[in-house]
Amino acid sequence: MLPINLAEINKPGQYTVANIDGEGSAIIQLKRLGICQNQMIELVQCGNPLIVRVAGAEIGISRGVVGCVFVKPVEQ
Amino acid sequence: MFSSSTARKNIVMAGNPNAGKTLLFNRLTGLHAQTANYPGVTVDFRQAFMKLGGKSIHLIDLPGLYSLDAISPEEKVAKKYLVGDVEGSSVPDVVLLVLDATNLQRNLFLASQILELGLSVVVALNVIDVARSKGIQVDIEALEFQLHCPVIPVSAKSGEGIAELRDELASAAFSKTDAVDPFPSCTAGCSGCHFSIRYDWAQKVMRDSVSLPAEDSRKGFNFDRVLTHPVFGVLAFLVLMLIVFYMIFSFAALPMDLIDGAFTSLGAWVERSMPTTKQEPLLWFAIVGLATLLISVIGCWFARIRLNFLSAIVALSAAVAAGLLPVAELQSLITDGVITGVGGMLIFLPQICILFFFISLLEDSGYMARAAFVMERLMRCVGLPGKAFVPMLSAHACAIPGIMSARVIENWRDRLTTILVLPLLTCSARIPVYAMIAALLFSQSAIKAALVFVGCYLLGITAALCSAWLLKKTVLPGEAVPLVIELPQLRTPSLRNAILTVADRALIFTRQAGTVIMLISVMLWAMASYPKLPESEVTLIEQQGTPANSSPENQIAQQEIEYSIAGRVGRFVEPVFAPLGFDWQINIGVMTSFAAREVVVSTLAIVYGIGEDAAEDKATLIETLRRQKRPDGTPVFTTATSLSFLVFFVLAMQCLPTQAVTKRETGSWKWAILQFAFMSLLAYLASLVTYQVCSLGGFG
Repeated sequence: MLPINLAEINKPGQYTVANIDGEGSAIIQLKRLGICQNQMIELVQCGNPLIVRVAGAEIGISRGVVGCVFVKPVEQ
Repeated sequence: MFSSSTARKNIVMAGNPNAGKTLLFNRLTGLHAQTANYPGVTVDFRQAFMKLGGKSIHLIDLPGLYSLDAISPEEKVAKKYLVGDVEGSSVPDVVLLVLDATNLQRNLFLASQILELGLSVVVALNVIDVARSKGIQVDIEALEFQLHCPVIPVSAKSGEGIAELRDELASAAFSKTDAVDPFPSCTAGCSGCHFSIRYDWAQKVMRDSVSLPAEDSRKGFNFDRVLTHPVFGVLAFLVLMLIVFYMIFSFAALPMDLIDGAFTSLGAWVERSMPTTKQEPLLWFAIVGLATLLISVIGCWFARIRLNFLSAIVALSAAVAAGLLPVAELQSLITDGVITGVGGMLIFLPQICILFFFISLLEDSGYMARAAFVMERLMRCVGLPGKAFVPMLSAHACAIPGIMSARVIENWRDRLTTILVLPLLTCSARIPVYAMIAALLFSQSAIKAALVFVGCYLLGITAALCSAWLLKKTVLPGEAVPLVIELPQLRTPSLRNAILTVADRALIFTRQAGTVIMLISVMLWAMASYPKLPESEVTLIEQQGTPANSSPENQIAQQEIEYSIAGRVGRFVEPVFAPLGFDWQINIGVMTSFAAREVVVSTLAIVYGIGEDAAEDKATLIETLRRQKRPDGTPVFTTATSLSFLVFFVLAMQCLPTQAVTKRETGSWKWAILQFAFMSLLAYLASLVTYQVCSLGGFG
């Protein structure tokens, strides 16, 4: 299955980060908070900004940077 | 700053933001802490010199950081301290690594990087009591084995484990052996994403040493969804801010009145107590000179100005000048210059303290991150991040704490933009001016007067948001950095921490703004007092008699200020301000209010000849202002002039302490000068348009 842009997802659920396209301080911030390749995240609240749970904590992310994150759904 | 040359051991505290590091620092140090500034950048850190195991240590609370891949100025400073990249310092003797037991996986990411530095590390596993209550069980021995360093479970809030932590720190700092159990790098031999590898390692550590409850149900989970809801979250935020501001204005009223009364009494006491003549000129010179010298030395110590040749010359000159001043002028300098100036600044201290108290509670509770989250979308419309909203709200009490709290914005360009526009928002000092003009225009209609207030607030907000947009399009180009923010778990805030934070912020405010405003007040006093009116003219006024609503003293005061440098400058700049409808007397008010805006009310009372005391009596002042005529017989305070004057005071940068704080927070006078120039130009143009349009509309 091809990775989906996180910004296009409108349903909470669990996903695995496939890759992150982009650079800059916001991308570094994403990665060091745990939204990096192969890590499992849970989309908790959709919208702009949205909320994901990763590494046991919730992270608020605005659409400007969510568009750089590509994920795959976790098979239940 | 610490130096490797001293025998005192250096311990630095490092950890994620929200790990409870500051709370632990306050618990370890109590009232011994002081705030220091990292040279060259506007980053504060808390430090304390304290005893540990009977020996002296230097403890530094570094700014919170998520990783050594530092982004914000605060994180860069923290990293420099950890790797020993600070001039005159070496690596710390011990790192006190603070980890949040309820958020361990995330905290372990930073831990892996710090452990790899090869320093002596002691881990404080904070909020252990909350973790236990949530069913999170940590196997301390297993964690110590994984981290290759001692781990002490503590609760900074309750004090649990603090004694053990102190013992462990003393042992790490003063043990004879320098050997550190080496931590094997978790990225060694891996070529992939180092972030991912570290999180994989953190997961493994969690599996081996932490037992989580069957379902990780976050406390306040449902409530949290309300706080972060696009609509209800904004409403909740606005209601909360309304409550906070109501408390600020209602709780601060009494202490503000007390401070005002204390300074008024002090001024009156000085007037009563000082002799009227110099009986023994030499003795007088010696006493006044020595007292001035002593005050200068105390001032330097308070403002942390080093005593060197230049400061000694300045202090000696001030002592000689004060000793030579005639008694009446020295008394005026003390009461009208120093006491009025310092009192005028300190009167806002209660509002600032209450504001920081609530900011500290809200930050500690984890709510501030949610406020930034819900305001993100709205603030982005003007090119600012959501985090800019809290400083903007703070600035409605006083721009100074607003500017100081802009540090929550990590990106330097976004932070600078916010700082530059904050003084446009209506602060408490503008309220007396608004009240005066509202009464002048609509004394018979409370609703219309209220609308004037609302209009002023809206004008300030609109000007700040539009200026931010303009700055982001011109001087500070670029979109605001997108929000990526951790939403820490909601928890009960610490009252003790809030009180210590308030004490610290109040001291910074008093030190930074207080020392500057005293000097500025003395300068403005000199401008409004010299040169003195010739004796012959004083005699003439006394002989001529005075109008019915005035007295000889008020007439002399009016003539004296007209004769002074301020009066002359007021007349000199009259052509510049005439298109705004200002006469030379209003110009004097504009100039003297640069130290503090509210001074304009008492200045207008003086220049229109009713005396400073009459400024307290609003009805007398308003009637006097209404009666003022221009040379052609038309009234000075027409609707057009009043509105133009009001617009000028909404938008002008008339607060030198704010300028001093802008310089401190931006690290350069360049931005303070830009702020002053931009706001002055904006105020001038807006007043010009207001006056000219109103005049054309028949309100002139």
